[in-house]
Amino acid sequence: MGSMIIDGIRVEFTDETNVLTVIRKAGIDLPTLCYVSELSVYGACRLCTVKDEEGRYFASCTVRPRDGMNIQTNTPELRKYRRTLLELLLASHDRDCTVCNKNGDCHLQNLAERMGVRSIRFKSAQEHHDVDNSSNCIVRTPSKCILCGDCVRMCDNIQAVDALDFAGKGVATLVTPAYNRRLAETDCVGCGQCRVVCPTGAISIKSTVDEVWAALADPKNKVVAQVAPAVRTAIGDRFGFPAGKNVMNRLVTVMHRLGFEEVYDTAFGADLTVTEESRELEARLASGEKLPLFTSCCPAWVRFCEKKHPEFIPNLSTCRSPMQMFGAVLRAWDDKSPDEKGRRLVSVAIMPCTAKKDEILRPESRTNGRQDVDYVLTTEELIGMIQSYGLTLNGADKDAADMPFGITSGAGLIFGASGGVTEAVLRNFIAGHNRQEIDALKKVGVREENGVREFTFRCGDRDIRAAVVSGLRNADMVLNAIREGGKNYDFVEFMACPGGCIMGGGQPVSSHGNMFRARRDSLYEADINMQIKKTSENPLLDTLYATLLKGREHELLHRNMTGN
Amino acid sequence: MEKSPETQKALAVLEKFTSDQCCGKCISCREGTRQMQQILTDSPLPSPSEEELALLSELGTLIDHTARCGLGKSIARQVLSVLEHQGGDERVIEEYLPGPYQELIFFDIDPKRCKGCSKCSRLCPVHAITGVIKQPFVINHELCIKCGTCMMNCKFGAISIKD
Repeated sequence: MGSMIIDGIRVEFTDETNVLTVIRKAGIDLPTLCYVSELSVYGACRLCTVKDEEGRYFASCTVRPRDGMNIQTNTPELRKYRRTLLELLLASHDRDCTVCNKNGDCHLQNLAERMGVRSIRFKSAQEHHDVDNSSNCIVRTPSKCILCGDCVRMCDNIQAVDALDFAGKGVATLVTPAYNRRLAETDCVGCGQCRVVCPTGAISIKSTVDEVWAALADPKNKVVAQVAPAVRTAIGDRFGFPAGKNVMNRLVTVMHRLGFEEVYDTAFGADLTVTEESRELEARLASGEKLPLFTSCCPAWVRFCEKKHPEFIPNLSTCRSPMQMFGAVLRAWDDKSPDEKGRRLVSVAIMPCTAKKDEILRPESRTNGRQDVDYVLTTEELIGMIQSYGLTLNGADKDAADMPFGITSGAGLIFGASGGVTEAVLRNFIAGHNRQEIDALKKVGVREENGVREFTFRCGDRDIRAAVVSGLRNADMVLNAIREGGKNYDFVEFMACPGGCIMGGGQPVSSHGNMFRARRDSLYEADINMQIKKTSENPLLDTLYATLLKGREHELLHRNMTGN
Repeated sequence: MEKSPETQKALAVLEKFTSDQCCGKCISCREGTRQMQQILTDSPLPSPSEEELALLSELGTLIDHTARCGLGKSIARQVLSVLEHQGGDERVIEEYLPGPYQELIFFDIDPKRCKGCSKCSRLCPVHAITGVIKQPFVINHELCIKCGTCMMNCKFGAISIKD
């Protein structure tokens, strides 16, 4: 508590942990390259340096606010320092900006523009490093790295994966996996959160846009797509819609124009997952075995569990993820009623997630030896496709997702936010369409914002002890607590990305701050507008279980670990 | 053209610093010292031209004011001071630059001359100098990195190098 003077104006502060936050609260967006509020303070970029009344310089991110401080943020010399610092960074940066995947969206480029860097007085000190293409999810381009360490701290502080760290020192410092391994040889789970915080093009999404364009152009193909719930509330932002605006109906039209013959809603896959997962929970509760049941729809979480906590693999649900269930059903549907022109089905999934790119390649993501989903495109990549075609969402007409898989429940939609899977599964434990109980469930804690939330939900005559976890550091903590016997749950939902899929590694990174609440609220809003709240009320599922899925539930909807 | 002894010395210090001593964390120190070294290496003259010196000085001040720790700040100051004393007293090179003698020398405050103004204590990059105002200050030799900042800034000539 107290106040300080910033550029001659008195500013009050309360519990801000550093001077930079107070300065930003005062309306001055001091530039930084290494400061991410969710991560530990690093203080490497020095751009937020300010001067106090005694003439001392300090990086404002690393100093606690003190009552009576008097600082200046924009003296001529400080402004010159910021420009020189950027010049120095650019001198050792791979400046192929015009062909960089981050062009126009790069924080370094943006700051250089803002600070008015128009020439670089220093000799290029750029060093060549090989691009690391080994991961199925992300690409590392070390020559574009500015050593801000955001990815290192994300991978460690928030995700507990520790795949990246600093190596070497002085001018030879590098961000790299240990022993200069390639990313595929590390514990990387593909969550893509490093790419979300990377200010430059040093870490980017592994794109399959070219392959999808080629598939769309081939007349021998019938290309269909499914769109995940989290995509619709994130993509509008780039086309000028308000934050979190649900633009699914416009997206359907635009994707048809891009050449996707059918555009389905992955929420239908989520309905299948919820149905199967509810049954699985019911069965495990009855037998008392392999409890708690862990969700398995997040591929980065599944990888994390396999790599860091293999003793918990039996607890993982055998259910495929919504994307994979839908992928398998689409293939089976195509087998049953093949295209009349004899075209091959190419199945594309539009996902908020980089780890999904790895999931489709896993051996158990195949049915009868065939890959269920051919390509995963992230929201970012789809934005690129729409823009390169010359389309926008703003001008697009609205349309509903295609049949026969167009009927979904609200439960399937809220999958995109952390807590959504749990809420969807528990809805199935509520007898009938009991409005009071469905409302009561929203308030037990499943919709809170913290990374670990636990609650007990009473359904009928029993209590279900559930936990909702997002962020892998949190997952690590919860798993340790379960192992040590400190925690007992029946059901635990794990999502690798903090906040769930809406904050996934493949989502557009907004320059307008954290989009979490806007995207989440928009999904819950969509749920409110659905007449079908529970997946068990979805009439399409009954039909499907009675026909296509009859006797094939396990083959199509559960993870087939043998790969056949 | 052969570099002047001062330039050679400055280059040697920078080379050792960038390759061995710099941790590589903050931009000003990592990239700034790298470019200082580059400018000196590329300079066609025995000692840097006025223009080059201006750029070196700009970088040195940037590092001094924005680097994260005293190590980078002191290197920048040392290099600048030696370059500004081109052709001057030989002693300057030895006094201000860590070199073969660094282990053997230490800085000391003469209690008779020290007025206890605290300037050295405030400027010391590693907070090695402590004391009470208006009484003689003392240098903690365990912490001292022998940068010479205190000696350069003492208004009373109370700080000197001892062997």
